Amino acid sequence: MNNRYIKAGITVFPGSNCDFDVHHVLTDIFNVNTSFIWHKDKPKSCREYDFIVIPGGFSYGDYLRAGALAARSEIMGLLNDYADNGGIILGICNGFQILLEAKLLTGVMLTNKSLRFECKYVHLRPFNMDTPFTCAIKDNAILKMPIAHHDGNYFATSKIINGLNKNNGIIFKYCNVTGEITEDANPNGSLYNIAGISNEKCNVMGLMPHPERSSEKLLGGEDGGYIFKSIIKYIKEK
Amino acid sequence: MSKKAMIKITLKEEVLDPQGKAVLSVLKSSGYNNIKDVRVGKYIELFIDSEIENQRSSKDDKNAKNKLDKEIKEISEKVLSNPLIEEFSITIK
Amino acid sequence: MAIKAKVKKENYKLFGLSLDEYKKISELLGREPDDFELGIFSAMWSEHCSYKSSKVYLKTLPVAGDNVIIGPGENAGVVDFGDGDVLIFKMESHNHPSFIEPFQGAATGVGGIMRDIFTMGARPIANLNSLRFGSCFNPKTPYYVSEVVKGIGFYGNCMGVPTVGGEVVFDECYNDNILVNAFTIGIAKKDGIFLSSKCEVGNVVVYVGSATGMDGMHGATMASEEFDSKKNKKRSTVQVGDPFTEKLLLEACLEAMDKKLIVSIQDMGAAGITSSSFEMADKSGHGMTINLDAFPLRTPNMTPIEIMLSESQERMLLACKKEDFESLNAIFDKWGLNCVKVGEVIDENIIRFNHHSKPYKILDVSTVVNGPAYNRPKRKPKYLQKILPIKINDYRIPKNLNEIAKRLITHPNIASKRPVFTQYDYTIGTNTVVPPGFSAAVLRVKGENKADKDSKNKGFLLNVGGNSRYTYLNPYMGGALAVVECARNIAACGGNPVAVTDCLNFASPEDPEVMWQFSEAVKGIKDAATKLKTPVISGNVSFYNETAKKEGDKPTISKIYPTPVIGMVGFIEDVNKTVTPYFKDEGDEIFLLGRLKGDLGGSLYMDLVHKDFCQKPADTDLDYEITLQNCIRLLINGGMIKSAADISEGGIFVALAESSITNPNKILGFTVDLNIKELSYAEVLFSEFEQAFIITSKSHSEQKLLKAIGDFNVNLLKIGVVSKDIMKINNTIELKSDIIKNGYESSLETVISAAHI
Repeated sequence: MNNRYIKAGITVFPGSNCDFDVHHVLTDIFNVNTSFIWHKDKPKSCREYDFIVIPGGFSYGDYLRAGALAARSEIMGLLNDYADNGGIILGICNGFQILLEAKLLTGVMLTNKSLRFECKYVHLRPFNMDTPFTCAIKDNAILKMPIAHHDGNYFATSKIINGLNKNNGIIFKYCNVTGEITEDANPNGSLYNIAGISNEKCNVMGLMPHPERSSEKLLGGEDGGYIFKSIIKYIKEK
Repeated sequence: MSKKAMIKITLKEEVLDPQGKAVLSVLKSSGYNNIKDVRVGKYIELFIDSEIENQRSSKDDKNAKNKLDKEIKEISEKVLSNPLIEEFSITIK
Repeated sequence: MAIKAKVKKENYKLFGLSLDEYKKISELLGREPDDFELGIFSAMWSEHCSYKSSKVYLKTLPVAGDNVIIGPGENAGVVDFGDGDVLIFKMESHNHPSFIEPFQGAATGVGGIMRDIFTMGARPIANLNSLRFGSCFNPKTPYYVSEVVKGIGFYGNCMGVPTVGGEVVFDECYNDNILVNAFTIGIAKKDGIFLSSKCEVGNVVVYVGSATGMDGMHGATMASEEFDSKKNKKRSTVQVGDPFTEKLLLEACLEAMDKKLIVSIQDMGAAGITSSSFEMADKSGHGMTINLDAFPLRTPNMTPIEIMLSESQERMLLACKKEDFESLNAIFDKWGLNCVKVGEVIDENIIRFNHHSKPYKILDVSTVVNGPAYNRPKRKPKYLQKILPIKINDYRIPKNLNEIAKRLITHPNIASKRPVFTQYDYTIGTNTVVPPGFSAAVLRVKGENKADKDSKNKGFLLNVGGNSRYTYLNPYMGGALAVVECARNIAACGGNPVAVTDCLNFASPEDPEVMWQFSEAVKGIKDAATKLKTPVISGNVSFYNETAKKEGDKPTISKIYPTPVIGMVGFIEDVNKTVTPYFKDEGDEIFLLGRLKGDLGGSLYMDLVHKDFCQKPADTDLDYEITLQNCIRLLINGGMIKSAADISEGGIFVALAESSITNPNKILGFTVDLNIKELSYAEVLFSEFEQAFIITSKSHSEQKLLKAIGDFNVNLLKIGVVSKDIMKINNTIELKSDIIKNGYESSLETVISAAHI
């Protein structure tokens, strides 16, 4: 599997802490040419990257609101341009929160219904297979991945939800092991069990669960790997 | 119209405020150089049962007023704030 | 020497020193100490920093071994993990602060132990903890549980270090003194270990991290109120943890270490800058100048002694070469952290303080550091006379064992700790092979190239534990059992125990009976650690876990049971071979490997059913234990067994039940026929810490197992089969697995959620 010609960038904010994990998976499992982008680095553009991952963590300690402070840092301007030009951005967990705060995605994250940090395995059902993040997922597949967050309770106005529905922007929902969207399967109170959404053009996705933590059999499953496989497939076929 | 108690909870002056520190650092790097320090606190509203509140406003029933004030103070002290690190102020409107 | 001023006489008390210690200090100085000196001495001679009551016993513990690179004395112990890697670990208590403010106390406890690890050049890769709370019927317990757990999660999760295991124990004896013991392990390169003892003359002394504030200086502030009541109203505050800053400090330190810009480094923990500066000077055999004006302060106008004793978090003291300072500064600047020159390493064994640009004080390093060592009086406690071997016939064995079984499995000490550990991020780091909730946590270590999926993955196993009731009933056995039980858990996964760290939580050492308990427990740890070849390479002692209170009109002292907690690290060559404790498939055969004594003394069964657990607990035969553990490792390595569980709290019944209901993918059950001559059912099913394992293997493998066990003098007894969804033992127990699972999983939630009512 030679993917070394594919270039991935991982943003690093103060407090990012899944940056090494994503790097490990992209480099050691998928053999992608991966580098870090420090939030204060000032490249002219991010165009050199085939895709960019905003990893999880507690950027700026998640103080004030999760993702709020990172969303206002310099690098976000570049990411905005990158997205406008069709660049692929995957925001995982805190990365999702940052994308929301930066208005690259719509809606907000509230504190989990339990008011607790929740670390557990969940099941996900994809709803749009025609995106850079899902195109390698087998039909009817249910993916198992862990969540680990305190504020993953997605909320949006009905106008936003209508917009998402119109664009097939709801990419993943929490489901039970057989794929049903039930209240019991919702780990955080998220509206309509939403776990992942995209922007209108489907080139930017935010996902609460951690695909990088379930990309190896040894760690209990490889389902998360399908997200990265999809991105690689999409880039190769572009 | 029923009234409410507005309670502001702030960290005591000497206590480290990690949130304020992080916000300040972002403000500074965003060029807001006039800001010297940031402290983040909590704001809580308690809506008062109008019946009791009526008693409170009738001036001859001072006891009820005192009782309510005392109760809100007690709530602020024992439930809403952590007196070891926080202090609070109450406004009733 | 006569003590003159009365005010000062009060002062030493406020600083927590005894009159004898005050006299000794005066003798060493040739005069009475001033307030600055008194503050410094009191910090360095405190129990916490000097180990004055425990030193003589700790010296007896085994500290060396084949894998040990650094034993006690540094910030943490170091073991060789092969291939140029080392593992660095330690456990530390944060009991008193957690009782005062459970969220911040627990959070800063976790922050402190992680600093100990990355100070040495290691990236922390896993946290564990041992938590002890009062009875779950105590109205304050839910509050403590939920706040402590939140605090641990808050800090560890933000740091990005997975919390992969631990224990949560409820017992009345902790009603007034909760225990929070935090363990961290990190990984480093063998040639990238950093020590506090390496300062060289001419190095710059550098302060990095958060600014200094009035955090956590109880003694000092009380005293300062005394001598400067106008200026210092009560300014001391609870330490507030800032995991975000610590994450930056971690990255900055590791980056600077990677670039070899640091010569020597020490974190600022208890007694802050005082202990870090004096210890660094002492261990390297040099001295320092310290410019008190240079310190970044959060609170303006702090006095010199306030600066010296502040316990503000997220700070480090380090020494670097003069020419490297600018590069070092650039790194800390990148991470937005203070990095300030505060002094220089000098050739004399003194610390020379400057304040307001003038020479302020000079203190002799070895005088301050070499605190007292006490051989305190000890006496075998009276209550032990009443601890006799159990006479089981004196107790009526209940008819309905189903009911007893249900009560055991839903007891908060047995029940699933899932409501706790799901609040910790245990999957971050992408190394967690066996998550919390099973015998031991298992982590893999990433090699150079893991694209080859079939490659061997070496890994390590982690476990913490200790049983305070057994220690109360027999302090020697309790100490030994803590070590043995950790090793059992590691062996049950297929791992080799390598080394341990300990947290010794006790009441006041000034009570001769407590001192006796302490000395016996340490002896037990020593004997077990020696036999099992698991040297004690780091640790901590927490005394004074007691609270004066009034029972009616009578003043009493509420003391915790002696609570030695062990944290153990084991190695496994290939994590793919790890065995988990839960049953795998219906039809597999269940065996008992080892032997049963049926001793109910100290057991949960005796407590729950007969309200009396104070009888002599069973002894553990260390030689047999080693054989047994070697035997199970052999079976696991040979790929011959599908599950293995040890027999701890709750006995065989709980071991079987847990094995049936903790498989993440299905609910199973068992049909077991277990008759042991001369033992009643209660003794067979509920006796604890037996020297035996419950193992399963695919059907028709008894002969193969027997052959493999061959020369080991260990019994193998086939006791039943894994069944679908019913738990059945002889004609005594018959329960539905799903009902038991439900109780097992919901019981602790009930305790915790009571905090919100």
